[in-house]
Amino acid sequence: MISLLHQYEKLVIAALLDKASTIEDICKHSQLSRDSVIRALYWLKEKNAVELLEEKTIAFRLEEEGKRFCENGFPEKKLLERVSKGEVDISTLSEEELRIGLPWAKRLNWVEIIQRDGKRVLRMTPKGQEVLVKGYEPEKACRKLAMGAIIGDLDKEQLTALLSRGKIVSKSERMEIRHVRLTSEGERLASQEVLTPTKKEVNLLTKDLIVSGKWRDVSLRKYDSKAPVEKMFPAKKHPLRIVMDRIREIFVELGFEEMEGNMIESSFWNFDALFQPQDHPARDLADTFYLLSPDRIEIPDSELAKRVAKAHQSGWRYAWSKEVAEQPVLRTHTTALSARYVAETGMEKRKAPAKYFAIGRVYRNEATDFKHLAEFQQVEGIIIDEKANFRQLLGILKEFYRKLGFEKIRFRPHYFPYTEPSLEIDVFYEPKQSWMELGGAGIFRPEVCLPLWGKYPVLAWGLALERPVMIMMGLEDIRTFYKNDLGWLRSSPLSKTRV
Amino acid sequence: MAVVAIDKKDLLAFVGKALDDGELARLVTDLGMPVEKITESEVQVDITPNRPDMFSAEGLGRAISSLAGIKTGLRNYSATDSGVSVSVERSVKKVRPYIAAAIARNVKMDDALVKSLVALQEKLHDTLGRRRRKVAIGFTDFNKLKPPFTYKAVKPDESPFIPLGQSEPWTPARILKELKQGQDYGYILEGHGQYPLICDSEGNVIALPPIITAEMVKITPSTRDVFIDVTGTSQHAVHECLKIICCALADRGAQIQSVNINYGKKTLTTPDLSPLKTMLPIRTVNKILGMDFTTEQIKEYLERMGHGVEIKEKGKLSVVSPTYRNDIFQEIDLAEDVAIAFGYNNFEPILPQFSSIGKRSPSDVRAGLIRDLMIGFGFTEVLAPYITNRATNFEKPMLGEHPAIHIKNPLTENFTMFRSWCIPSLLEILAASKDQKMPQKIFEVGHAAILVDGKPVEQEKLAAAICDPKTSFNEMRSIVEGVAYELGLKLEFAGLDSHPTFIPGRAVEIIMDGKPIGVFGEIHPQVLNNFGIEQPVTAFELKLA
Repeated sequence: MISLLHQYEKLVIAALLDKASTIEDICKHSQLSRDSVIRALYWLKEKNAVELLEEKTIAFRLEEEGKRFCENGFPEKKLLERVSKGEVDISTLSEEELRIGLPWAKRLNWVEIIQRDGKRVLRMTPKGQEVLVKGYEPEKACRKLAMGAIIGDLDKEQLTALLSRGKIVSKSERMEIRHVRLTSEGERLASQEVLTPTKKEVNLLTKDLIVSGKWRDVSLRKYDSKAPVEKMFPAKKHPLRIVMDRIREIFVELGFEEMEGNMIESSFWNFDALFQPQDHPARDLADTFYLLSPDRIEIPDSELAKRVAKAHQSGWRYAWSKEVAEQPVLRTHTTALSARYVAETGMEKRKAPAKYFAIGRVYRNEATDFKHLAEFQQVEGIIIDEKANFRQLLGILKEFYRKLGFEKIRFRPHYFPYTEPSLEIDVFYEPKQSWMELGGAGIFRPEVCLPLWGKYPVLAWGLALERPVMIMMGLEDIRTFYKNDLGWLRSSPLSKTRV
Repeated sequence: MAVVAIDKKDLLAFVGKALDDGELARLVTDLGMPVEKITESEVQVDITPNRPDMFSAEGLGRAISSLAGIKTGLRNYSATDSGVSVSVERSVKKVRPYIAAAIARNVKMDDALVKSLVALQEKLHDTLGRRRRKVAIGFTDFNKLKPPFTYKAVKPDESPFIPLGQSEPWTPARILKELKQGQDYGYILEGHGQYPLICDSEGNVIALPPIITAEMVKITPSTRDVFIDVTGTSQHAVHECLKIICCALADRGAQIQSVNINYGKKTLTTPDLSPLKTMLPIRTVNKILGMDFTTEQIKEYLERMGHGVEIKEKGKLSVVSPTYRNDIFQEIDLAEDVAIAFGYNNFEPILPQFSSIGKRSPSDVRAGLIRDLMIGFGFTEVLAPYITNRATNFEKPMLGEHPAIHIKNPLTENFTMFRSWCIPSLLEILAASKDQKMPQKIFEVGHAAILVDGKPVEQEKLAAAICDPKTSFNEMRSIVEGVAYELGLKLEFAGLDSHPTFIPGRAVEIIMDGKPIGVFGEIHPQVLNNFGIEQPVTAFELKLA
């Protein structure tokens, strides 16, 4: 029925077999604390191994004032100590000495009041002298109580007397084990187990034990492998970072070089260079964050600006404004970076053919809710090559998502002002058996490419980052990523973002 | 993007075949328009802004019909001369300079047409029309009008007329002030002191664009001939909108008549429904798509997108695109139509043909090392938003304002500026994580931006914070020194008594090569109170570049 006794139980049974019958005896015999013995006794009772004779006992508890008296000494005792150093003028007594110390010291006949030079002074009596030597019994009893020591009958008398002195101690009644007896079941258990370890049992393997070789003489306590343990939280990367790192790795594996650039950008690079007309709805105040400071960002190359202006004028048929192009924005897409890289290829700062990617923050002046953020990440990529074509665009996207763990992918025609042909990418998410839209792509329009450079076609895409990670992690609210609640960060396992 | 709801029965009438919902959804998706919903009676489609011709049952129906091979090739539209003219007075030049007009004869005013026409008008207003600012469309009963017409601007108190839905004459000023449409769109006319009107030869007001038409000339179930006026700030857009409407009405059996617009020196005839011609070498199409389509294949695909195609010489096509396709700028746009007709998912994807060497950016390589290092020190990475507000960036940390990046058009009080430093972001995160087990150790490699001589400077930074009852200046100093040692940075520390975010005497300025690059120390209890943090916090922040 019972396979194993706890070490405490074994020690208690050994004590009982050795004729111990009270808690105190068992404590002494087993070297266990009172609490441990009581715990073990109740476990044994559950197993029908012991019979407990419980009796109602009186328990005392220190109250507010009692705790203070224990710490500082009883006022009458303190007064006695003061008087023992010489006679004390009554008029110099403190409020507490007058209110408590003096009446008690007098009642106990430790001090007497005499007249000296017209003043009333206190003088110690022989009884007082005796107390100083022997100690003050109520104080001793209270201190025992405070330390949790065993309270003898004499102490109990002292404490009972103190009950009438206000908030020093209080009394309560509770059941206490008076007598313990081993049952026949207990004896049977005892016969089955090795009760007293031949070696001393220890919890901690110490340097001393290791170096001295004493570890041979002790036995290391076994742990209960089923007992709960404290939780530990490893420091780790943010879940989005783990996926961002994997995405970066995928692009590097595919031969892409990472782009870098500013989030605070001119409208020129964010919109104009991408053939978005200056009255395009995406440029509305309701969609884009414009800046108060700085109030403009210069367009560096005037020849380039002229070519862009011409593309707008002939394509969209309106008067292009340099001022509007100089309005600073928080970039609304990482495609602004791609535009710069294509232009820099034209300026021969960079070489072609080339493959570039970026993972960066973008901004939209949108109300945030569980599906929308005003600030989020975009995965950008371009391929600049003389022979770049639509099939390659589909191929690289398919390969990217395959490496990210999405095998099934489909393309839909779509519209962006800066690409033609344009498409949207849906991936099939197996666990949910549904398609989700994850990004847009296309080939930069000649109206984009020609003013920037124009020699080679440019394949381009901008993909969502948070959305696939939400799906991987089973998140409902996109805002969770940027709230960074430590409870969430700590409880999000790496395995959920493994791709 | 604009979601349009189109009557299914009406749509299928224009498709010319009873398609089931599955086929219908597939064809619309293949055209590049996401299907939102198909119900018993309605089809809801998200129409991309490049194809305003598809906003109505007529236009979408045509496109589906062609793609499905039911009726392929060019549909011709034409207009006969009505002899009617509109004189444009110079006075409109500033407020709303352009007008185009047409007459649709023998219109069968049934429910389906009215519903479709009103929806088309509304969608064109919202998209191409930029909420009526760029383009606004009006419909009136031509037989109640006395041509020729005048398009002119008048003072706000002149020319009172009975606006649609009212019974007494209102002045333009009152319409703008008191009528719902006037309140909604009146801002478009503000700032010029004059409002545009279309009047007939007897001086009767036909419309006050882009606000409202007159009650007397409104469309009724007995209207047979419709006068269409389109006004706006872009001549091109005004003409394009008129074409789309005329083609839709023509599809419903109306005869379109043109109107002469007299701008004084020059006269234009609207609408111009002639198709657009492009010479298309098939090489161009094949090169960009990466395919080997034959001339005949490309011809077939273009016809399924509603183009008229003639094979001119070997490898060259003469393509005639319908008049409403204002998205056809050049060859590449036809190449996309070929790809759409072929089906995007029918292409065999291939990988790019040239080899290249992949490379992470130097700053990401550095950031990666630092992240590993901080995780080694037991810090958990956070990703804080970069947009914040004055209260968080300056006020709560008790820092004086310095030149920073401020947003001109914040939507909420939470997002009004780009953060100028990172520690406040970390304090916000600690405040939100109050109930979590201590010690809390977090870090971030991220960006902040400041304004230097009026120019934005984005800085990459490392910031970290510890929230714990036992954290101290010395603990943070050990970490900063550990970071510096690992990264090989020679840092000096200068005691900092004046930084209001930290406890005086428990803060240090981090200096490298004689320049301050960061701070660390114990956060001031008042700052902790401001953020609502209940345990001591130490933090550091330093510039990486």
